[in-house]
Amino acid sequence: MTKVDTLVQFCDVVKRFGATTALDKISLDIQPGSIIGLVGSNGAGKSTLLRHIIGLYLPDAGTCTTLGMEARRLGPAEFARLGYVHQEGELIDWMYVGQLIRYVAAYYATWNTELEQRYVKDFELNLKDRVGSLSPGQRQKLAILLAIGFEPELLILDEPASALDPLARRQFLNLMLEMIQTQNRTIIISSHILSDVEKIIDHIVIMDKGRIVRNCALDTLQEEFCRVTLTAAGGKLPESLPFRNAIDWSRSDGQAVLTLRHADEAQIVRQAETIGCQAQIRRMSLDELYEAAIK
Amino acid sequence: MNLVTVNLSHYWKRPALILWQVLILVMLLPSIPILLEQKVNTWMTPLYWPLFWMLVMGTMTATYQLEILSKPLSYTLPGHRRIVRKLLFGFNVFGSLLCAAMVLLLYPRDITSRCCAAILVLAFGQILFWIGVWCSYRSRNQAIVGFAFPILIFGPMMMDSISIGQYWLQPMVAAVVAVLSGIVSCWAWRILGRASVFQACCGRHYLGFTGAFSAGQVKKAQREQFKAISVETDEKLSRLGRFFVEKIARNRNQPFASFIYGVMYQTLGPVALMTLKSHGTNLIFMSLVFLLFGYYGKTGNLFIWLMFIFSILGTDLQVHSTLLLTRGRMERFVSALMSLVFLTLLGLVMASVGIAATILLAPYMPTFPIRGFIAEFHALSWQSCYLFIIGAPIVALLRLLFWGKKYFMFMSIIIVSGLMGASFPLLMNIRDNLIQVNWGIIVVILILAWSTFTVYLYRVCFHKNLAIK
Repeated sequence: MTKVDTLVQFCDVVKRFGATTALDKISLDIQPGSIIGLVGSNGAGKSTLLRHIIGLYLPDAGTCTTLGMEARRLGPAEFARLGYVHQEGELIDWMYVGQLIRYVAAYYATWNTELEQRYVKDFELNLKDRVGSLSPGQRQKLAILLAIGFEPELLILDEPASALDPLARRQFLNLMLEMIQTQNRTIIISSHILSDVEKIIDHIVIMDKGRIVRNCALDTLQEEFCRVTLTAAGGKLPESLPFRNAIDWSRSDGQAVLTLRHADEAQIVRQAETIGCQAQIRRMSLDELYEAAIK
Repeated sequence: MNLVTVNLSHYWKRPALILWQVLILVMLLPSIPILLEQKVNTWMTPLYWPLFWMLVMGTMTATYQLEILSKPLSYTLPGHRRIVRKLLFGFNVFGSLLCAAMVLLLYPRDITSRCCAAILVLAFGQILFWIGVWCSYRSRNQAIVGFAFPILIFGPMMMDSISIGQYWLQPMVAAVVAVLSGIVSCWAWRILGRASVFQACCGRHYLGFTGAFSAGQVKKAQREQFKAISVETDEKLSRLGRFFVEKIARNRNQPFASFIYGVMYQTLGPVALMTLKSHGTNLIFMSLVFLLFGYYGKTGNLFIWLMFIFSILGTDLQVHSTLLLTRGRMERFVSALMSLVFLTLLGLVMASVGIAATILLAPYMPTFPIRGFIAEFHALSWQSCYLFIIGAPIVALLRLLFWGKKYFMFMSIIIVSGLMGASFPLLMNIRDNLIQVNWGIIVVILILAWSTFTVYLYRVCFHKNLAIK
């Protein structure tokens, strides 16, 4: 039975494309109000997972429930609460930008014209440009506008910033931050640019080869791992270092950089002192956390 | 691996090119027995085939080469442009010499006429080859080889109708044509030596033969065409847009109406986008087709509906669209089905207008002799319209079946066309018998065709993935 407060629920979902298992017994609950970062390498199954949420793909086994309804049975009432931007950004090429916005807006009773006008201005979209003649970045901006113009309850962004230039990416991130702060909205964002995602998400789902490797709050992951730089006071590090929970390290004669799991800061400092070293501890970036988590 | 090998490797390494080559070869095979035919009534038909062959060869060779050169990496290979010019000339010389040799050895005339014919084929062949090259160059992002099919079908008929007798098979005429061909070849050599000719291709999208099978490539080509379209249709498009947007918004709370309007808008929008000139060209083309089929008699009645059946192939019923609107799977199913019904009715209306025009024109159309027969204009009939009503869901079904598998779709169209062509005499008999004897069978086939399409559409909409992996 689907919990009332669960927006999306995957229950042992399996999806195969020929011999490839794209999703391997995925179970996942998405609660309202959370901003989820879906990260993983190419082919990890991120887009496949997102397409199950909106019912574009059907699972070979298991069930996917969105907004309390089996995803394959979603109807206009549910889709009016769902926004989706996907990496290929299918749009209607022969229309003008203004026409496409009006066309999509016609389907939504909650379309926010003020918001639309603001983002048309912010994204520097020309309403008289033909959609087919837009650059990839402009197309992506238009796709984002179309997905947020009706202020969806659940916003699904599949590589939304992949085609954007650095300036547009910053604009997009600001928009995301604004949406998070001002509205109680659930956002699932899949991206390769982890440094961008890091700024907005509060929950992370890491996928690898069709499986969910980690599903936790970003803070939890950040507390789990840390990076320690050891500097030998005497100029040379001892042969063996007393850190049993190190999952990765690199060293030179006088310095070593270690990635530690489940380590206590005070204990690290004490252990460093026993071997005559100074320890510098820092939080890891999402890039580094991802690398550590899939090891 | 040298540059020539790299360039030529495209011809055997890409499956789509091999497919095209095989198809063209199959298409050209009929030329050999005709050339070998000893009892020819007319002198021109045997010479027509080698000439046609050269035109197709020019088009294909240039299309390959332009496609290769449109890739910046390929373009920047040192000396590649010169290789392209040499290859084009190489293919031209090889092809025209081969055709001329065939004519010299096989053409059933005296030795002087044979020599003249061989020189004529050699010279005309070269010119036609360059015409093919020019057509390819000028029509970027178009399925250029398509022009070969009407020539293939109507060419021999036209050639036979031109009664210029033995006049052309004179040494002096052959010499003049040979000189003309030399001039054209020199001019082509000079033009192809200009860097600007190939610079214009580099980095620009070129659909070519293989691109026609890739959805992404076709989309790119369409985008380039949209860029090129002038903005003079703004107002017309806005009117159409306003109409449909209002309908969609007004019917937002109805179960399916807004989505049906949406599919109609997406289908009719690109038509409204065409310029006045394009509308005029289409109108002239359609008028000519109707007139031509009028001269075909009963056969024309079938061809006209077959033409409309294949037009359904070009329409997208939006079943697999990933532009997320408020439509669920049920809405996709109903709107696709209703849209096909609407398009079928639209096709019937359009065909009816054309048929009505042929009825009005019939008393005034001239008769003329062609291939020993008297060509007489017959008004087209509405009676075979069931072919379209049956064919539309079958073609739409093929499109659904082979969605995302362009090769298979192309092959299935070839097979279906072949079957239709092969079963034409049978169709004629059935047509006559059914109209007179049994409409019941037609109704049964019609119900079967539509219910098969509906069942498969239902299966796609409710049990299959709606996006490509």
